[in-house]
Amino acid sequence: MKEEGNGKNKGAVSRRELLQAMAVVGGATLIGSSTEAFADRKLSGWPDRRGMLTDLTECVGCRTCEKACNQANRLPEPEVPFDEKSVFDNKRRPTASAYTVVNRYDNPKSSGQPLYRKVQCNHCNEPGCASACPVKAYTKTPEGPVLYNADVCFGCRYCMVACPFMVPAYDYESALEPRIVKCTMCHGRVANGGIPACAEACPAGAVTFGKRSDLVALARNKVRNNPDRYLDHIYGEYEVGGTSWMYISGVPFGQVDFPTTLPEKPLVEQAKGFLSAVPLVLTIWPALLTMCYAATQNKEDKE
Amino acid sequence: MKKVIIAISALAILFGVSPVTGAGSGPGGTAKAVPPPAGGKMPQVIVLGSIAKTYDPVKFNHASHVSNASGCADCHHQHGNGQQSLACGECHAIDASAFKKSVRLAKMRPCGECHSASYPAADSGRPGLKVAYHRACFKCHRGDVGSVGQDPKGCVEMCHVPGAQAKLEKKP
Repeated sequence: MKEEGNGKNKGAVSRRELLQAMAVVGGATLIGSSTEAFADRKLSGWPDRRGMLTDLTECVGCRTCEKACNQANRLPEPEVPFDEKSVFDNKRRPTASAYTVVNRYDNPKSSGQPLYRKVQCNHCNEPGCASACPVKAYTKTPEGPVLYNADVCFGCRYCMVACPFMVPAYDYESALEPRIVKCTMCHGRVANGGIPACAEACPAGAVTFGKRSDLVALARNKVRNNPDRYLDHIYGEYEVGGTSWMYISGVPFGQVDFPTTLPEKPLVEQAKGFLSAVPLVLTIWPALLTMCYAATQNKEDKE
Repeated sequence: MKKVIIAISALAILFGVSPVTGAGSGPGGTAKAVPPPAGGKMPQVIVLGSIAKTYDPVKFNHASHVSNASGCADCHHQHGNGQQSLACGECHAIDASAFKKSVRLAKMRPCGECHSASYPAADSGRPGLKVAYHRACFKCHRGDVGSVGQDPKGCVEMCHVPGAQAKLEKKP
């Protein structure tokens, strides 16, 4: 009796071992492919990638960037004209018809000079949207911009949840052709040697386009030469693994609604541990539970 | 039509800064804070037309600014207020008479000589012409006069008359 039981157990263990081995191999292949799909890679190999630098102390809230963006991307005419200040009454987010918006904030230093913050995609070095996208609709280009391909998108909107800056907007106008809309850093213009429309149009020089490494140096210089004017913080230099679009400001970034609790590690790093466990769990658990079921069934049969 | 506009804007950029009047007429009684340059010719009204595509050229009243400013360096950064300093001879005609008297402005370099009308490279750290102009104005005109910095309409109130092209676009 005892021997028989042992023999049975032995058999069960070896079968489990086989299944485990299969699961590990299967899981490993799945993980291997998924990490490749994420934008999780060292970006030191792209030293020439472009970026933008917004100087919040220069912006006067003229909304010229919004207008230039609208025209460059052939977006529909806005309901409220671009020279209307009533839009500042609410805090806006980019929408399907406006890739960038400017919001107004009270200036704690001077009440007569409100602060303005331009909002758009920050083109993260290791974008959360790209890592969340199940169909790889997002591409981090070596030139810097994070691009989106509507052809493969099926409208799950995971990217909207994954973005720490709440940027991707959904085009709710069309139910059959799902489409996410966001800033492209004027990739088409830049590819032809042009300048992103907002940077070119800004009369105050609040938005500067250039090589990211140059912009970091420029920002550092500005901060070093004007310590009274700027905080010693280049937002986006390290946040979520670094962004292409960076900011310098005279007030703490939290006061102008920047998320200030973001880790310096890329978001994909945060999720990788969990996500890579998913294929394993999906392969092992069914096998394990089936085995448990089979084992208990056998016992019942014997009884 | 588009070509014509491009040609016009190119011309406007070329002749971005064109003194209209004041070649011979000194500022006379208008200058209180700043003494008029001895040998120099200070412009009275300057027409800035490098962004004529969107707006009509801006008529900048230099004379009234001379009377309000506490010195040339309020706007012109050529006298070493933290900016790149230039050799004296680059701006001042230094000759025998200049050494006899105090050195006066004989020639102020136009902004466009250093600040390019095209988009500048980020690593130069030098703003383009449009930005240089606007920053010079925003130093004072922000939040008080013409509500620049408080209302997007401030641009029009202050300096910019929407250009013919902009007016055309507005019409349905």
